[in-house]
Amino acid sequence: MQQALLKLEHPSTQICCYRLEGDWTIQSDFPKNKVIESALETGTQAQTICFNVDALTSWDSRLLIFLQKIIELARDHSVELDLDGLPSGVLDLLKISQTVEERFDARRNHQHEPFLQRLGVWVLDIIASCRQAMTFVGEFVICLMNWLRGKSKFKAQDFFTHLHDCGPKAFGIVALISVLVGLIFAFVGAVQLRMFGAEIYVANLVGLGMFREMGAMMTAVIMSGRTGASYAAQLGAMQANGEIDALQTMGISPMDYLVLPRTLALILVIPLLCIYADLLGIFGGFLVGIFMLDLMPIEYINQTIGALSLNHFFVGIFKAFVFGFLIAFAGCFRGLHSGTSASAVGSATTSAVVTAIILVVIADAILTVIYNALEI
Amino acid sequence: MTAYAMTEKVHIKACHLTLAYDDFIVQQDLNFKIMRGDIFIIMGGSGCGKSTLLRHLIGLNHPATGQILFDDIDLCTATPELRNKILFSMGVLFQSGALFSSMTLAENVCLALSASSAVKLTLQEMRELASFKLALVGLKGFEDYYPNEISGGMRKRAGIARAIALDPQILFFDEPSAGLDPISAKLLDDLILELRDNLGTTIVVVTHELASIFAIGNHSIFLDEESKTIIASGNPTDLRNHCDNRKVQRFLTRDLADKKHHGSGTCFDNDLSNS
Repeated sequence: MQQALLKLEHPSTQICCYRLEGDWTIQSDFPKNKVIESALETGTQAQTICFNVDALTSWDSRLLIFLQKIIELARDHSVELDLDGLPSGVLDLLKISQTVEERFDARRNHQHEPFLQRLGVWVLDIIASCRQAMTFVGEFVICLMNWLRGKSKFKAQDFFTHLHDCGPKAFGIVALISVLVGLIFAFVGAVQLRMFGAEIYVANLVGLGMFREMGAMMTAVIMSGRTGASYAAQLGAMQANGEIDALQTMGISPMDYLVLPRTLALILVIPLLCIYADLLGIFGGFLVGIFMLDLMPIEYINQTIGALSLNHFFVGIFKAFVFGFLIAFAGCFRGLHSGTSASAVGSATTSAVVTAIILVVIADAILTVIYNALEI
Repeated sequence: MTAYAMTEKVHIKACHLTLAYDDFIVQQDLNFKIMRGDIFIIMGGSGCGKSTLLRHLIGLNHPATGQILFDDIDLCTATPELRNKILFSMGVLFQSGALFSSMTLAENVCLALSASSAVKLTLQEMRELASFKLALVGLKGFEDYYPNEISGGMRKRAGIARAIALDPQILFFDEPSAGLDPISAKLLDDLILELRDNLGTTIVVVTHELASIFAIGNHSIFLDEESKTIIASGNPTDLRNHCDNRKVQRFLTRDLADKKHHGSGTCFDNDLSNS
């Protein structure tokens, strides 16, 4: 492959002739940018630009983009162009590329926006997003009321499918995490309590911690990543595929048909998973108590039973119930408002998990303060 | 002699319609009437807003200004009951088919049936009806297939089976023959004509397939991207033969050279700056 060369010929002071030599292809070595720029600069000084291609051995789109640049420069500097010397294929392709004129408003403006403008747009986006979320919650409440009055319906089979997906199928992961959380709790507590010879109170620590806080919290975090993300991805993919539009035109409300069964399934399942997590967490603590602190099993169990009351149990269950709603809300809301591209579905899923975890933690904080005020 | 007789009754009417996404106006001041039993073609170049207009007609988007009236009822302001009644009287075939990917073809069709509380069919009857509709579009025996197990053309036909599940009074087709081979496209055109002739269905088709436009359309509007409004309306064949507007001419004849015709087409030669 020969090197592409660009030379200048000046038959007269008014005419600038570009002599193109060698292979003007995308695989060949090309003149340095500096050479090209100075040649183009010289061209703009002349009255006419012409071309000599006697020594041009081959060409492809590389030549075309070079010529396009010259054509634009010539137009801007009112220099006459004599294209006659060029191969006819080049001329034809250039002609085709110019058949349809550039649309006046087609090009995107990539102006750098000032900081305040970006801040303003960001705030407006947040406000719009909050409004959307409030509308969504409002619509859900109406939909729930309609369902309670028997006015809206969804496929019972869908409900049981979701129930199965977010319930029994999550047993493994919930068990693993809960036992480990119970173990860690007991471990950390044991180190401190041992200093006072109060190892037996590890049972209180683990029992209360799991029942009031960690059972519900860890279940919620697992379910955000597992079910919340799955809801957002399912609904997002349906949105991208036009299925949500199709539902609406069939007179079926996506809220009734898609959101309600998913939300009901999650609200029902999470408190049950929370009980499961509570018990397994206590079991984790029990293991540490027996094998590390050398406590008697019956002693540990009695201490746990003594430390716990129904109040503590319901405190956790109520939290789980609220978390269930928030996770389903985040998943369905982000999914239904997803864009229609593959990356938009990905973003919807990510933001569903992030939203769910943030909402869960905020709700947990608020509920803890309320419980404290009510002395529960 | 067909069972269908043309009744000069307005079915859908658009008054001073402006379609916009936020601040971006797609089309403005659209006025047209679709008669009962019409096969109404919405045509225009790519990106001119045909599908956007369709989304507005089926109530997925709300017009920025103006109204769309179905038998004098505005879908946007109708009570939920009336709105549902109108929605149940229409069927839509989306460009991609938009079948529910988690359901079999029969379930897709049955869903349309079970959505309407007016339908009083047992599950068995629904299933039989779904099979019948699938047979109508040439998909007999594919009841238990999922959308991802069949070809693109079959998905489109299954989409039609779902759209016609409730024997709708109005059918909307978004690019029905796009992606179909010529024979399937012809069969689809025949099916559209059969539906209109036998059931008197009003059919609105968004397309730029010339063969289909001339074969089935009896009324049409031509949307222009530049002037953002309707630049011609009438019978597609008449427009081809008599319309003076160069854009419409070029579109309908697939010819970039200008031809001058003199005749009486309802077209508005208002924008030739780029022609």
